[in-house]
Amino acid sequence: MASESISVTTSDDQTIQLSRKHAQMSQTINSMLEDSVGADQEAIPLPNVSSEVLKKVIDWCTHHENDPAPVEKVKKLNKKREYKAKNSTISDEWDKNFVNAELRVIVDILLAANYLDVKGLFELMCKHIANELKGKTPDQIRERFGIQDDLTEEDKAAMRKAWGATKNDS
Amino acid sequence: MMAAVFVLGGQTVNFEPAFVPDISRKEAQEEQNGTRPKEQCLPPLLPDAARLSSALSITECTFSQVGWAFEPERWMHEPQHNPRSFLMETFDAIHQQEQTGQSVPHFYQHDSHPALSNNALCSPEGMQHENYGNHPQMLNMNLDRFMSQATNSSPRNEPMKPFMDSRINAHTTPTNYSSRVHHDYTEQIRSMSTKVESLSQQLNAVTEERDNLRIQLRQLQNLCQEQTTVVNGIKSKFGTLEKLSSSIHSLCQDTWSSDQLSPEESSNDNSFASNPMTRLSAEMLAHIFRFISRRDLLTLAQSCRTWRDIVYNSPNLWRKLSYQDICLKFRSDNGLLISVLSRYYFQWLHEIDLGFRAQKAHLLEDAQHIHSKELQQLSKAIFDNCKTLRSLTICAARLYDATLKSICDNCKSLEVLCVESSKKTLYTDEGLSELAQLSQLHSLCLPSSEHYSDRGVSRLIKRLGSQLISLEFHFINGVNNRFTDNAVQFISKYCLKLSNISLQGHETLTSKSLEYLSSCTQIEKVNFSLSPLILSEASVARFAAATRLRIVDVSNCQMGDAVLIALADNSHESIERIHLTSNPITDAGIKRLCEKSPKLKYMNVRSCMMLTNATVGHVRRFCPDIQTVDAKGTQISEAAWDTLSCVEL
Repeated sequence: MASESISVTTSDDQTIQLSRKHAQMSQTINSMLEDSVGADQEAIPLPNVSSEVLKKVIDWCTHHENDPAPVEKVKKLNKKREYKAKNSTISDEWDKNFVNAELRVIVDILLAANYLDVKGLFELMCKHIANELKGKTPDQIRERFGIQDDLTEEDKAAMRKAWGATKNDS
Repeated sequence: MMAAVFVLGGQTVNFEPAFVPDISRKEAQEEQNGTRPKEQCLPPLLPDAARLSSALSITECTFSQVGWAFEPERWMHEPQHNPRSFLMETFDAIHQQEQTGQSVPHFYQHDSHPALSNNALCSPEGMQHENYGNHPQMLNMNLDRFMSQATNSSPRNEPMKPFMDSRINAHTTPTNYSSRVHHDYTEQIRSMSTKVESLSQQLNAVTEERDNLRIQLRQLQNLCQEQTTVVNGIKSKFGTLEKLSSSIHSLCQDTWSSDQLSPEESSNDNSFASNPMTRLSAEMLAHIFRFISRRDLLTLAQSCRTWRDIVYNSPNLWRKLSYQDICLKFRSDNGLLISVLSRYYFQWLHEIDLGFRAQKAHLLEDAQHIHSKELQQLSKAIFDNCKTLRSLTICAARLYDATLKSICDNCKSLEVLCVESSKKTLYTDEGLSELAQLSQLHSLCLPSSEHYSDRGVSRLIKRLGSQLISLEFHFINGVNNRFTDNAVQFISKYCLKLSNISLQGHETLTSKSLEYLSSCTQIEKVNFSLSPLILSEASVARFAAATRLRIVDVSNCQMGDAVLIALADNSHESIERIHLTSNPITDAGIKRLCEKSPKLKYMNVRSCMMLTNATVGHVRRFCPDIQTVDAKGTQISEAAWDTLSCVEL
């Protein structure tokens, strides 16, 4: 059996050790490990992840290492298919603390989670960003996320027209 | 002066000198006069091929030096005067002779210039006789050489060419003194003309070289011009690039200044990193947006173009309209959502579900039933815009004919229509007849009504029956159906594709109905709850045997073990889900059901008071796929269920 520790090389050329259990929480690393059974001890290159971000990911994995695997619930059978915005509530206190970071870091982690295919972390980051977006005016959103207002007056007029029509209706 | 003698068939054919032009003389004259004399002699009289071939046999063929240096051009144009063709034909004839086994003539040929060989010609001893035997090819070769010389040389310079010197029998060779007289002149002229030729060749070469140089010069000039054009093009591109870079620069500065607004990013000096959101792909953003309610999405859409496009162009965010969205509509002041939906996204909507079940699923704290006035308003918005709607589930407090009419008038492409109702419905046969417009409809679900009759149902079934896959009539508390076995007979007659039928709460129906339905062999899903009279042992057995039931709902049917066993025994082991709520069945019935239903996944035996823990054993023993058993209100203890994994109580 391969060793209990996996080493990976990050984008800034650092070699980081992580436990096999944590490594297997990433589907990406997991499939790499499966592909190279027997040929271990080779550091796995992760050219899209920096060491700083990887440490964050490992932190999260350490906290969630004993989470039950997401199971397809039996309840699904009775549920009627329908659109519903996914519940974006973050229930875990540790997670709430974890996402309390600079937007740049959040995005880094989101990208890394996507690349490494760590589902739970990816969902967490998406939820966090979604929460940040909620209940804000367009101006507030732009300010929070550093977005430029590139909508033309025409675009805005089109939207205003849509609202106006409704106001008249009601 | 020259003669050619053929000895043909023993005859000697002599070519008189008169017929053979005196080339040497001719040439001398030319030299003297500077002009070329007119044709003064006849073209050589050559024997034609016919004559030759008609000759009995050629015994001897010798060519004397004949100096056939006639104008080669002439030979070109008049082949009959061409010595070559003559000779060819001659030798063809000789060859033929050889082939046919006749004797072959002796053949002599000597190839040299007459002028050069004159001396030799004078003395028979000096003559070189070469016996070529019968090798016409040799002559051909010489002739070929001659011909090429004849064609290459210009007539002016070289009227005389070395020519074959052929002679007929050496002893018959005539001597030619006059040619010898001109020999020296000829020789001089020849050498001079050679010089002239070489000079002219040199001149030609020089001229050619000059022309080449000129061409090269011109090419160089062209090249220069092209390069100038290219350079100009590059210069102009450079200018554009400079403009572009300056505009990019100013843009960057704009971005920087706008980035200053967000305090977190102000520390970053890299414009790319300054807005982390730009690093997210549209796909990821769309994923994030799944967590955001539609109302917030519309705010998002107003923040920037990229996000607006993602919001607007992700049909998955808009495909369905759910109860939650509608509640938002009636809570929010601006009605933005419905308006935007109706303006832009109803075109994407394939499915609207505003039914009870959806409402229950959401369990919104402030969920209230939509009042009919609001429903009217909403319906108007939906019906006016959702021309492409394929599935519509609405909940109508009271369903009027008018509602059905407006649905049918607007949403013509509906495939699924489900109307739920909680109160007494008021639609009549007229409303039913409107439904006949929906040519795509394959699933219809309506609440029972007191006001429709067998007639209305039969008429609808006649129109739509052949396409219906699902037909449901739901039970409304307090509504007495007027729908009888006759209507069911119509259904069974026309709806041959039917796979789902629900006749909930039809107390008027009897077991006859079920027997009629046995002709709809495609039926997989049935719901006869609250229709107790429909089930009799015999009819159930017949119906179950004729169909392949997968999902059976016989709740509240006062059904005993006998009927259940009849159902199980005839079900072809196909039952997957069964609702047996509130039926007086016992463990024995369940045992038979489980035995005969190895695919069973779901079983609802709520309030079946007579069931005991034994049921659990039957389920565990016979149904490996079981996932859910609802057994509230039975005598089964929870502990017993613990032995069954995957069971939800």
